[in-house]
Amino acid sequence: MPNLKEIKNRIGSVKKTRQITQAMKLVAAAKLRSATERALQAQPYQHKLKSVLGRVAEKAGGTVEDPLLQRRSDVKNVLLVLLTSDKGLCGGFNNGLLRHVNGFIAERKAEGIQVHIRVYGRKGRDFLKVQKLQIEDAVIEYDKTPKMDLVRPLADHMVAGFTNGEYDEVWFGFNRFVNAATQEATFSKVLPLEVEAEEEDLSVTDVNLVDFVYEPDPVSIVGSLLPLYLRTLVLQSFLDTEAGEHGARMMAMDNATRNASDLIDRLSLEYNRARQAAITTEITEIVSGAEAL
Amino acid sequence: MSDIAVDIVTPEKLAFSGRVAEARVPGENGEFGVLPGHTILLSLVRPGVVTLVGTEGPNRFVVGKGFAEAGPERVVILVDSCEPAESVDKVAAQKAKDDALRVLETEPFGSDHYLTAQRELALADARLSV
Repeated sequence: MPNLKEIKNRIGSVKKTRQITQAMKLVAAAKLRSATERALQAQPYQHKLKSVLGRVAEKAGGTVEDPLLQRRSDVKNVLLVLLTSDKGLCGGFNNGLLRHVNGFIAERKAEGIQVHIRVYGRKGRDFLKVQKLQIEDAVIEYDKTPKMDLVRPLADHMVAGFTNGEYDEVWFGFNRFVNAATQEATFSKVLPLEVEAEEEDLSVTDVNLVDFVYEPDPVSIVGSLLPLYLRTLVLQSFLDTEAGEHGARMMAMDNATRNASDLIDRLSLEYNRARQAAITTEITEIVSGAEAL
Repeated sequence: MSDIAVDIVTPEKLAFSGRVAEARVPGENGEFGVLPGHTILLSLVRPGVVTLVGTEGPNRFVVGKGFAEAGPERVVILVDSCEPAESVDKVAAQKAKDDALRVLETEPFGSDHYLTAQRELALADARLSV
């Protein structure tokens, strides 16, 4: 028979845990809301840029030969940018992604490709350290920095490394935000860029047939727009990661809160039983004591 | 029709959306004005000042690099940064300009740092001009 005091203490501590997880859940929910809002606000820019890029590239007659579009036949060096969170307690958010990293590297290694890694987030860095993988650069505690301040230098580095032949491909490993409950570990190739002609967006004019005046010529416009497009892709990955982290944490803390409640119910039952048992014993003792007299 | 819809969009948000009589945009080949009924035009935008005529509230915006799509009824300006002229931090802009000039003197032409500094300088100049 576990003693009463022990169970009572246990209930007390689980209640405190539940309070913490509940608070974390509420905080994560609030942060998730603002993160998805930011992601939403970033969308008009991205869509517009993509549709214009597709149209201008088509206009340029598919003869656009920007260095950022050049596919290399002989891939020797790959840059992998991993986006993870700084903080834990967010369920399988980081592990779900990091689980695939070794596979990604092994696959490339088999083909004699060297993988360089840049990682954002403490969790990712710690994982790579344990795995004894070489890290080219690690950025931690980045969640307070405005996203564009992260995106610009990273995109510039990617472009520079890609054009001077340091990397032949650039991949992003991050959690795609599907909804609050679902994040999808994704590895996607961002360089060389792929631009496909999109459905026309006729917000400016409904006269589809009339030709645009381009200033300067279409080819140089594409050249200037590609780096911007790359940035939006990078920004999108960061925003997805942020929203995903909060979503994952919200779900994890919701589960934890529920588990704590279940545990409290079970412990209370046990506590009451133990108390009842103690009372029964006491009565039996009194009765048998009285009988003896 | 006497007015035209203008949207200024940055990767982070919709910075301005409203109707104006005229929009003046710093294009790659010089500043151009857009009045209602403008021919459809796609132009690159360089760091500078977008001026909106005939609107209440803030009407001058310091913008970064991007592009603009103009039509008879609508102008969409996509830029990587945008702030109202009133909220520009002149001291910070002057400092950014000095920093950029210093980098331009020391770094080799065409290097990463050089190009970044060139961009910073253009933006700082635009900020100082308002």
